[in-house]
Amino acid sequence: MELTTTSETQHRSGGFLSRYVFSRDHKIIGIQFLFSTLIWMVVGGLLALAIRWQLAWPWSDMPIIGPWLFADQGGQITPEFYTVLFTMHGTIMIFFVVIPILSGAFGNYLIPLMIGARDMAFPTLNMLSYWLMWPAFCLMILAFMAPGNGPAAGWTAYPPLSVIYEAAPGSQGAQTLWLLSLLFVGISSMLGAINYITTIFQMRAPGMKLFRMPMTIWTLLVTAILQAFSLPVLTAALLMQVSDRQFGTSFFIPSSISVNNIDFSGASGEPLLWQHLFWFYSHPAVYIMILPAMGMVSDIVSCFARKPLFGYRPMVFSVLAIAILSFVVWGHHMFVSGMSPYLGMAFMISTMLIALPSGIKVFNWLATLWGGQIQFTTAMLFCVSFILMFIIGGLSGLMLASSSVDEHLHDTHYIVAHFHYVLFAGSIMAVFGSIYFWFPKMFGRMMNETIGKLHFVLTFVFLNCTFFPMHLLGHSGFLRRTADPYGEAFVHLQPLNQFITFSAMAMGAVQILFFVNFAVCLFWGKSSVDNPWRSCTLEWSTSSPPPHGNFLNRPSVGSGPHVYNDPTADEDFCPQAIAT
Amino acid sequence: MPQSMSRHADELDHLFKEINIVAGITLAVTGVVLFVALYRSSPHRPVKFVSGHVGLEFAWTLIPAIILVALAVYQSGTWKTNKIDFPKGEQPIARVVARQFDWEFFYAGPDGILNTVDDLRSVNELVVPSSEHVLLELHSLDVIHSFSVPKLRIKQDIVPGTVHRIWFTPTQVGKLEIICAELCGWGHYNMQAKMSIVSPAEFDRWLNGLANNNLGDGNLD
Repeated sequence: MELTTTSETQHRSGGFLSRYVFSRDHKIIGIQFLFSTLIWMVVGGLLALAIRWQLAWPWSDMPIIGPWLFADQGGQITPEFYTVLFTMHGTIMIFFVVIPILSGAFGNYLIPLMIGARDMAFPTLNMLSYWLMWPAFCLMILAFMAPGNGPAAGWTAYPPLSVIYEAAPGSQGAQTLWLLSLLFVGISSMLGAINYITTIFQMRAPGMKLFRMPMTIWTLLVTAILQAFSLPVLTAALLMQVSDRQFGTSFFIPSSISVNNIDFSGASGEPLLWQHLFWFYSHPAVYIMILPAMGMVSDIVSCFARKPLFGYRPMVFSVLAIAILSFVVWGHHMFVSGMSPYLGMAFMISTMLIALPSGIKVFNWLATLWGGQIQFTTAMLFCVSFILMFIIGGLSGLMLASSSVDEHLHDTHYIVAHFHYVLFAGSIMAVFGSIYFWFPKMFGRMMNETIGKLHFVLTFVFLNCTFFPMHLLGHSGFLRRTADPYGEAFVHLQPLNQFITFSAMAMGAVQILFFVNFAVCLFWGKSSVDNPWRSCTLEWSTSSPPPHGNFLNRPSVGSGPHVYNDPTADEDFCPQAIAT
Repeated sequence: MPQSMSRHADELDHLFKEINIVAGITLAVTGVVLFVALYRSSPHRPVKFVSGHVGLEFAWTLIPAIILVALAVYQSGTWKTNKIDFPKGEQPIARVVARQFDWEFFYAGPDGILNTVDDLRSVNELVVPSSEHVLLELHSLDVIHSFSVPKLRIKQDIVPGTVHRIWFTPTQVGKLEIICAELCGWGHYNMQAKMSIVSPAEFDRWLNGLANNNLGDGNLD
């Protein structure tokens, strides 16, 4: 292991900057992604609370921070600012939190460790993929701070609203900054995706056959492939919008419209084209935001049920099926968009079909849990709740898959409930579980389990109090994205909205537990042994935290990732790494 | 669910209820299995070392597949009636024109033909007769809006540059709300209009009143 020693020396000889800031070590990059995304999660969460404030008590002075934030309006949220709020909340949570925390943080940290590689295939590219997030962060902050109000066309940025300055006069140049920011996110994800695919195919340890890879790796691989195939489409579409805004083209501006008394008679574009391009990326992106969570949940559930993952191969095939189908369901976002009703029917059928592999995953998780020796650690609690929440989110998806029913539910709070069950109660809960699970590996210390369980119980209760009633709002036709939805038709829904807002505030407050637990245990947590959870996968065969180069001796793999309670083995788990 | 005022809405509510039942049963069954699995587990119970079961995998692939395909086929009937089988040879009763942040409604003027210079114009108030088929033609002047009437369970985006058509069969007379359901700018929340379904006789009276009020005001766009 001459190489290891050399790189170890090189690493140690580097200064602080090259070791912790411009590091090419995948573990440092993963942790950089983790810290950045956690900070953005706080920002996105505060924006969500501001949205909830307006929905509970429209046009009322926000206490304490209102006069400071909105001095011109006497402490109230203006309708212009409200559109900025939900646009930024969606954008930040999707592009700066869920995608980079799954692929960027856990993808970077876990891939080389779990397949037994010393690092990524392209370490410098990997460093770039993190540092390209910073222009994106800066541009997004700039979009927020720029004169005027900020991007106000929703995270979906439907033209013509998003491409014509006069349609949202308050936003001025902010929308262009928003587009440029997302272009950087896209490039960053693309570099990451290429790196992950190459690393997983080329750098597995001896004996780590494809069908011995942990589910986490399978899902990260499939996610990377989804990114690689769908991102070019988003990138092109974003550039077209930039061009429409800045260079006078009209890809998305139709002929003979007049906005704010300004005529666009020379235009000849098609607004629906954007929706097709956008959702061609953004539907696969929905799976980019959930598949790695599913993978991590699979491995964690199997570990704490002390049972092999039930149906490993069907699990892998269902991930592949989801990936393939995810490219042909984008139209279900457009049932009421005015596209051909025949297309709507085709998309309705493909959408019903994609429920199938998701169902298979749920059934296999249940079978894994069945008859296990379940250890209710904090990580396990989060992962089990992921399963239940994903069932609810999946079933409300079934409702929306029906094109006819969707006509009533589209753009109402039912949709808001649906995707928060999948993305918050699903992905983010799985992320919490994964942080509790891999924290000892990352930092060599344990997080506090008691505070962790309290964090879990309170989050679980308040998230359901927050998001479940939104289904009821949606039934009534209560719309999303409206600054003051209480016409005569909806005034009776205000008390329910106030309840939701109280729950959301409580849920936000509970997260302080998590951040305190995280920060304190980073420095003063109980020291962790190398494999505190008695898990089979490779990353637990090295020290906690692993050295630069990951393994002192390159491991060889002799078994699958979930060999728990094998009656022929001496212990209740059989590590993937062959003992040397 | 708000009150239902059209045949379309009745159909959709049925469908909604039926899918809800399927979803509810699935949630109940999986929820109970999950709960029992967690409840029964004990650190002392020996674990059966199994990693899969072909029969089970087939069962929980095929049964949901059949249910899903059945649902897809079943619901497509409603979709077809409302979106594909338009009443043939009938003229729209009114032209709906959306723009930031108002609704305008145009009716055929004295010449009896819609989309001519003598159209009658009504702002933020749509009145339709309770006839067998009510057809509407939707236009947008600037950005994408969405014509949404919760009591009719109708929602149709209006893409500028494209003419959209919708239809429904009222089941009762009464008052309804039209709201814009697609983000269209800062005033989106305020883009609401009143709608009434009235008897044909009353509709004629209302239209006469409109004609007296704004003769010649119906300039096209």
